[in-house]
Amino acid sequence: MKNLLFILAVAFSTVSFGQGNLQFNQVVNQAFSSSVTTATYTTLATIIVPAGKVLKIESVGFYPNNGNAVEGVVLIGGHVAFSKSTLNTAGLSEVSNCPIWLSEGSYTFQVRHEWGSNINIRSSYSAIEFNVVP
Amino acid sequence: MKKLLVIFALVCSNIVWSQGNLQFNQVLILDATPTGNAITVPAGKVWKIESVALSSNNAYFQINWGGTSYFVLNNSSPYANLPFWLPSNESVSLVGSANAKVSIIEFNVVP
Repeated sequence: MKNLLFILAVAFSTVSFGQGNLQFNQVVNQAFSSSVTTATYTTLATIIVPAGKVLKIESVGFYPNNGNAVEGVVLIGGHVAFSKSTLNTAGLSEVSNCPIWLSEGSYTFQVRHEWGSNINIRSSYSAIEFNVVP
Repeated sequence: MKKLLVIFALVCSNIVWSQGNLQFNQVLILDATPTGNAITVPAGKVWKIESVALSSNNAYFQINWGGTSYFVLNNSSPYANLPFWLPSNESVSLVGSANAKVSIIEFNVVP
């Protein structure tokens, strides 16, 4: 009986250590390029986080070509990942809200440029994917 | 003896559940060059690019990987696509203006 209790105690402690841990799975980087129209959100991609995973977006890139001003917004699943826009209460201050954690599901990756017309935007993100260890 | 074996088994199972953690290995400072510094992330490691030091106005830094260019940093904007992770066993090219220094942390992927 005493032995059984001891084993159960050790087993429970082991289980509690193992619950809900994040286990590194892989690096996920993606880059996109698209022409956008003035002050309109353009969906560049859909980020899919598989079941049993979480994705940590570490950073995003936002670079208009031809020397056009870095003024715009990057939305991930409706969440502002980057913004340098008059839409900000902070005016044209640059704001980055990374890291952003995404649970399983699908999320749109959208960009807009503040004032340019038919500007080509190069945008990207760098992320790490974790397994959620049950 | 029986108790010892049970404890050993439970400890081992706990270690197995801890797979895939990132373990600090070393820091690296690499050069980016205008023509590209071709490097390969070693097998079993991942790199986290933390920052890039640029040396002049209109300087820039980008990563070419898998046929895609990632525009990471440009002096025209203080904003940067950093930190930037590079996966294990992949060849990349660090492209940047002269004297660009890339600060990296290398992690072991604990199997």
